[in-house]
Amino acid sequence: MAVLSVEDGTVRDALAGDAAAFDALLAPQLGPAFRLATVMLRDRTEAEDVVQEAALKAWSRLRQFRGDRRSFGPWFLSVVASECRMARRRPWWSVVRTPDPPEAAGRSTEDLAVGRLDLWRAIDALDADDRLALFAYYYLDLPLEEAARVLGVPLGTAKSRIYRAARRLRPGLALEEAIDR
Amino acid sequence: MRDDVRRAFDEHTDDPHPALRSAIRAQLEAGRTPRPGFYRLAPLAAAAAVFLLVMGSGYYLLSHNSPGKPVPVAGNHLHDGVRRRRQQCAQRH
Repeated sequence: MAVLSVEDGTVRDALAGDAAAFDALLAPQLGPAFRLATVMLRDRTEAEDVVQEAALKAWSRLRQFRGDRRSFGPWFLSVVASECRMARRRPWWSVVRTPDPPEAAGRSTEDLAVGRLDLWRAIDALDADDRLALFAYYYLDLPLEEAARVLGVPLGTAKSRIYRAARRLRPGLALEEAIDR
Repeated sequence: MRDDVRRAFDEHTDDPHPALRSAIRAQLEAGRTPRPGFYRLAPLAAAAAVFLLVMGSGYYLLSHNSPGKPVPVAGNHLHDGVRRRRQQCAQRH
């Protein structure tokens, strides 16, 4: 999936305070951002709220962004992931939390070694940060460095988190199979 | 592995409603800023207020139900009497 495709000069204009340029920069990221938030929060409505809030936060913090148009995508997704973590930490009176799927309870790692039909159940049974690791690396197809940025962890930690999450889906998986590039 | 996981995410997540982009654009144009971080401190502030209230009321109750000032003991009166008698003796001599 292409993470970013914007015209030249858009980042510069956005950094200069052009809201329309920022909107153009943001547009290709909303799909991945919304899917990321849905994966982490398991709730579409809350995911929409979080993406909106992350967009405003990214706009207000755009001066902190150091990079080119290519790196805007991972940067914005890291803001979304951070907002998702905060949303999960919010007190019970402000968030309607969806319970963990019942399949997760009492299942061993071996039980999660499943075929394609049950793959989503196994992914859904992982904790939010492990789901995010798989999503960033496998679905968004981000290089390891950018996946680490989205996860908000150092490169080595990102690598081990992806591998750990992948092994929970397929216990016999080798590191080279999980981190395949 | 990669293809299977990608397919699973693709099947179980959707693109956002088109209104999401419109909503964000409208908020950007309106100059709306992100919610301040204050609301996240609200539970902490509430807990601190309750703690202070409990400590304050506890202190008040303790200070008003304490035994109070010590009652003068008999020795003090005796001491005064001895002093008075000594003064009377000194006046006689």
